[in-house]
Amino acid sequence: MFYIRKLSKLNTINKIKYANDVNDIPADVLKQEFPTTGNTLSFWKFESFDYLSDSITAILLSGRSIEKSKFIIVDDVLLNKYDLKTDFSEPGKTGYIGFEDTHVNICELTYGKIGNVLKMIKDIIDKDDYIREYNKDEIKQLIEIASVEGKIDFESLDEHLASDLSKYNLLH
Amino acid sequence: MNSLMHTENRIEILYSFYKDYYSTSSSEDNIFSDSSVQQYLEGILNTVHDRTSINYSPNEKDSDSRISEELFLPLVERVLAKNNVIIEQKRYNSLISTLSRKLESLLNIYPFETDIETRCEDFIIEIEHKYSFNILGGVIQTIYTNNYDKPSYLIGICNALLRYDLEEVKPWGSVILSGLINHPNETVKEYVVQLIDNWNDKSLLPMLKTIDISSEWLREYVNDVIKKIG
Repeated sequence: MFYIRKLSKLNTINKIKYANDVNDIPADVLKQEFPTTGNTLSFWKFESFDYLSDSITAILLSGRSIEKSKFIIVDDVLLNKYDLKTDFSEPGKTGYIGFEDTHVNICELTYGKIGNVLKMIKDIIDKDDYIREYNKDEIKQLIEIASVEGKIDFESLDEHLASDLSKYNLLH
Repeated sequence: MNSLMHTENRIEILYSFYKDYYSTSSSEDNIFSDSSVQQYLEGILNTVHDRTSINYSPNEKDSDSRISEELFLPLVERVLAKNNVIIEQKRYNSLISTLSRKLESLLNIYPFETDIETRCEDFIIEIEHKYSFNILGGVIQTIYTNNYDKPSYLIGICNALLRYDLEEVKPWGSVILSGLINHPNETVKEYVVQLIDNWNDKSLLPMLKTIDISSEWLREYVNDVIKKIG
């Protein structure tokens, strides 16, 4: 199983990359990228890279705007290596119909476990498959496909995202 | 009706003034070129409410061969047009000032409260939807000018602009970027680069190439963006 999360900033990876050790990663990175809620971090799961675009669409349709985005991907091997637990019980809030249950929380996080999350990200930093970037046009394309296939629940979308979909003529 | 009478009274006063001025003036052109006269006329017209049309016709008995509607009415219309511009400018300035103060109050606690990023963005979207990109540009430029020494304010506005296309925020968006690209705060620079990365527009490359960087993580990011856009 793979797990994917959208980064809030495009440059976060470089900040982690250039820190010699996780202890040197700027504290803002933690606050911006890994703010926990109930000691959990939100990810979305997918079984193989054939379904990657679906997971990304689910994440995009849970957001507030259409903008260039970067994603990190981890897998079960990495979660086990860093002793990180998962909880599948909380459905995701997304406008991508049928993908609410692909949401997963990395749970029971502590001060030490957050450090492990950062170590895990450092492990994947040079793996192109695990760091994915989509520009605005590619994102619009993914959303348009979902729209054409009738997989968007417009009632579930954030109002500003819905407005953007309308602005870019992505509603079908 | 009151507004119309009020307007007509003002035009009467203006016309009287015009006659007096004209009768003592040596040149027809003076009244058009004398700035003190312009100011006087603007003062008279400052309270005229109905500025859309002037239908005043002088009484025949007052008619003077040298004082005709042909000269008088264009003058009045010209002064009224200028007056309207001034009033519109005052309204614009007042609106920008009010909206800027409200956005500043949100940015003042940015990003120390968990939902403040969302509230700033919501307010910026509200300005764009309720008014226009032009008004939003005025507000953003006011924030930028008045708060250049407050990195969190600048980061807040850069972050909120990510949702827009470059075309939507032209020309003020790129003007702000050029002012911030060498801001002393490295994080501000990072947000500027992120905006350029997001907008992916070759026209921004010359600006990006002027950036002065001290940290490796930002240098690599800038090089990546230059490579991707170029």
